[in-house]
Amino acid sequence: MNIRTDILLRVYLSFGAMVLFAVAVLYKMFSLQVVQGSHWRAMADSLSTRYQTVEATRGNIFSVDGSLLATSVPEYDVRMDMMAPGILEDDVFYAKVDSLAASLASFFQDKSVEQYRRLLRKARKDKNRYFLVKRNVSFQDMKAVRSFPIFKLGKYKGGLIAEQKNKRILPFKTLAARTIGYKNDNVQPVGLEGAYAEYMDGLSGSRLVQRIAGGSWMPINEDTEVAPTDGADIISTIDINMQDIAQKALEKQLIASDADNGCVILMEVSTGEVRAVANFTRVEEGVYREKFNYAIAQSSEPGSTFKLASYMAAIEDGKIDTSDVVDTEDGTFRVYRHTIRDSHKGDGKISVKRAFEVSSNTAVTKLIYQHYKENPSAFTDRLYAMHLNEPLGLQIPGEGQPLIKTPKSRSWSGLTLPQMAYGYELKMTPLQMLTLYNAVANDGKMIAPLFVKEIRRLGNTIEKFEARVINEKIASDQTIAKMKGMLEGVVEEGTAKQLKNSLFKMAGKTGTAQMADGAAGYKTKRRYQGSFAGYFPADNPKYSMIVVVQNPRKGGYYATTVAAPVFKEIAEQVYAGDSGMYRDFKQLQMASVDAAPPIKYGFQKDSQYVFGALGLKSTQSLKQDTAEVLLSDDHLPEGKVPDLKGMGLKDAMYLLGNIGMRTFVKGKGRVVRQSVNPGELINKGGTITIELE
Amino acid sequence: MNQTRKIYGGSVDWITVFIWLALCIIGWFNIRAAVFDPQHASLVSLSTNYGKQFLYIVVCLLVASAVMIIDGKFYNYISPLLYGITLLLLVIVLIVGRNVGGNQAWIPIGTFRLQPSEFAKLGACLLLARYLSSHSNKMPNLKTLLFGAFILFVPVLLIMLQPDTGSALTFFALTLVFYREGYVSGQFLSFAFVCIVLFILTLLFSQWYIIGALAILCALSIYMFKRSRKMIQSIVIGFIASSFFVLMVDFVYEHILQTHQRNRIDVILGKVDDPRGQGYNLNQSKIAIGSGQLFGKGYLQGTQTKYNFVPEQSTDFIFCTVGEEWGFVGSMVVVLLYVALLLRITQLAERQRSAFARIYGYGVASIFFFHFFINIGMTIGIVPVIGIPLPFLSYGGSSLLSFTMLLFILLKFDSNRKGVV
Repeated sequence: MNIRTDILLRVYLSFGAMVLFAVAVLYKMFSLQVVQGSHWRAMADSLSTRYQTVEATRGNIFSVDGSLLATSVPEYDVRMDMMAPGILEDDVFYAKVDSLAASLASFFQDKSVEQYRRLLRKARKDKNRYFLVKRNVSFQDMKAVRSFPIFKLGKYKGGLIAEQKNKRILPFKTLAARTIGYKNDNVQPVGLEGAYAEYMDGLSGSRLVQRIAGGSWMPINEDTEVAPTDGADIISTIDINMQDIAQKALEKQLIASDADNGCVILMEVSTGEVRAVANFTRVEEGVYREKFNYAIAQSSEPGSTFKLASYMAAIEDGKIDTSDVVDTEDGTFRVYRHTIRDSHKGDGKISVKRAFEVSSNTAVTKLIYQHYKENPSAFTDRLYAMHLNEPLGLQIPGEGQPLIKTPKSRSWSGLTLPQMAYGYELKMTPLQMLTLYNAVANDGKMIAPLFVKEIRRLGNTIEKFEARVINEKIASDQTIAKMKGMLEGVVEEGTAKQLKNSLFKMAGKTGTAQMADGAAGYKTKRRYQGSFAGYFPADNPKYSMIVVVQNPRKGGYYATTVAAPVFKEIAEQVYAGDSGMYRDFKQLQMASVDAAPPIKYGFQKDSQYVFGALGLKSTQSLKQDTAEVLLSDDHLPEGKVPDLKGMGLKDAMYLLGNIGMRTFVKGKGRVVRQSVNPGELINKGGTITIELE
Repeated sequence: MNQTRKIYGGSVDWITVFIWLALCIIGWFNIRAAVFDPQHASLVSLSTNYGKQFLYIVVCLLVASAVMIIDGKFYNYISPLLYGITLLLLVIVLIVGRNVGGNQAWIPIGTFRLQPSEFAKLGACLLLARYLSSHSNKMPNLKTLLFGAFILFVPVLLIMLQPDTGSALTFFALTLVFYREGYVSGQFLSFAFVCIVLFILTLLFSQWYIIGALAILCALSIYMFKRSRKMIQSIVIGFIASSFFVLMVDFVYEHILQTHQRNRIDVILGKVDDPRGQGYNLNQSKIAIGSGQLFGKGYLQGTQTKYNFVPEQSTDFIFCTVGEEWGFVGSMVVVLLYVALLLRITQLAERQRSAFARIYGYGVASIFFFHFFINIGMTIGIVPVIGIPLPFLSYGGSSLLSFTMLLFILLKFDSNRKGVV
């Protein structure tokens, strides 16, 4: 081969190789992009991004006096992008990773430094771009986390990914917890949270997330693509102070009686607004929890409190009058081979009013049986006219069904009428009973109880609720006046004499019912339900209330001893007003807004300029120019009560919640006074009252 | 044109310059797309990669002009010194270098980082051309071949210490120069071909199967050539040699290659199908390019590259952005530009009168050839993932500058090829 052709051949071979490779590349590209193009496109679409819903912040629930009953606070999942630009270089990452591990370990105290060190280093090795560092970090803690080594390089450079979630908290913990309720996934929603979910939920937004190695999704932008619409706020009728009073009084009694459960409902007479609903279930001796809303859900035989309805029916029908005399004989009344007994020896011949006051079963059954036995439907028609057979149609779900039989009912027997007369063979919930008492207190106007007054969005009212009038007049004025007199009599000289006090009059009726025990009926060990329903002040009724205590085991079971004292305690405290029962505010030296806060170090001119710009008066006692301005850390002093002055309610509640103090709130606006001085040692579980203006 | 002739001492090959500029501009636009962030859309901010790349392109324009002004002989004289300097930098980087992603390949200079291995290619290419051209009047011999190989071996060794296997491999591209200059015979080439086939087969199948198959093949051959004693002899020698090679390949694969390199090869060979793990890069890259389809998703519309699915998307995997946003049509334009550039460089090399310029030209061609096809090949999955940049398109000042100098020194030689270099 001559050299020339040899070289030419080599050159052509080089050319050929290049062209061959180029053709191979083009062929492969063609098959990738054109032949399989749609396959890869579909894969790209499925892999790359998707929209993830961003939960809207749920609306708050406020009490009628403006306290926050339920709110959502942000909570974060802390993740880390191990390949963030600021730490891409090994020497930068490894120089600081140990101090990051130390910071995490000492702050969260959940893993040792060594464990964190190992996890972080492994994640780095795996090039994990979405490494989970810690779940459920509070807003406050998140602030600290941002200042940790590496993380403090910044949002993008340091690889810190903080994913926000919303966590529901009840600032007052157990207060009205069951009425406030909850709404969790896969659980039947309860209370206001459940009932007003559609208002409070808001509209979720969405956020574009991208899939990254390891099958996780990471938000692409810091902000959301479609911003969520936050939920509306609910203004409930609950008064947090009254709620607290009711809850404490009931719990005390339940513990003393070692009862199974109990409930209290306090309602404003004229509006039907429910100011307090307390429900307690016995967990073990001395320990009660809000677990079931007995007040609205539990239908049971009410016993003597129902006598109000029986007498009202008979008086309204003109069958009897308060001054009529009835013979209670020896306190027994035999009807259909069944003996109805009074709880005490017979009172002989007494007036109707007196019979009510001493709660004589004999009297009421005798009277009702005597006047209605020929035509029992006249009696039940009366009860139906009072709408006692109808549920109240409450704003929260789970209302128990009332049961009032009629002669047409299948289970109607000859004994039904006399049994109904003193509150058996019928079922009502405590709230339904209270509605009847409230109607009497409200001069015969029966209104359905109200739990929610208003729905607001961004401070604007979008819906207002008023109590539904069930019946303008359940009985004539004369009848109502007579019933009121009888109810007052119970307190003045009847079964509830202990409620008497010199300040104001109360009215009401005791009721001690034997509880049916399922199929076993009344034959097993006797269990009782003591209740007291009434209103106060008797002269000009403001509030109506019912107290029900079921199966007390200690110290008697009569309503007089288990229910009436609770009623008395609550009524007296509510009557005395808010301020009477709390610790007095310590008179604190408050920096008034128009005076300058003390400046420790700072240039005089600069300080004055700052105050001037803020419109604050500055005192001339500023000393000579100081060379430096020292800024103090705004960290909370460890273990000390923080200074809440000037804070909004949410912030204050949040801080106090974090340090574990129970908080009472008065007023609206910003905190001006606090009952525990800033800097005092925190008493976990202790109470603090803050006053807002 | 007379004016340029005066300044540069000859006629400039404008075709090459235009292709070079076109590739740089395409590169800049695609780097911008790869790191695009609508919130910081400023075009030339030095905080972004495309802002920096803009600066590098400007610097390269200046350097290219300077290269064209300097007398061509200078590059011949300077080549040993330049080679020495690049070796020194390669040593320095091992001492003071910054470790990024496992490779100690960068010397920090202020806010910029210098990658000496990129410049080492230039040094080695020039020195090799000088050395081989000084022996071009003799017949090619083994001694010259070995010494020439030694010139390449020293930087390769230093780069392997970083360890940056990709950059080190590019030096092997310069073997094309030996081929062109007649140091490598057709027999050697077929020997190399057999080696490559055996290499791939060994990775795919168990070594003992291969040796078994070879044994059967040899037995058949011996039967066929049983008359020729000489033939039998060479067949036996060939069998022993290839068995040894097969065992060695297996040993290297199992014990010398690092895990990630082994994994990449496995993915290419289809031995493992693991789109979330080792095949992640390749799979994402294929999704990006494939999803571009015929006409692409449009500029700045690529989701795969924009949202960092593809790693190293502005450097080694820049071709993904091209494929995704410009489709097959756009990618074809880029590939054809490269092919045109390669053919033009080869053509330029061939028309040089001096051996030095010719050999150098072949060196440039082979370096570019290796980069183009390894880089594009890896993004579409026809060669294993080897982390080397795509000339002129990939982000990076060091590589852009060294490739530009490589190219323009050749253009300088070409511009006064009628004179003696």
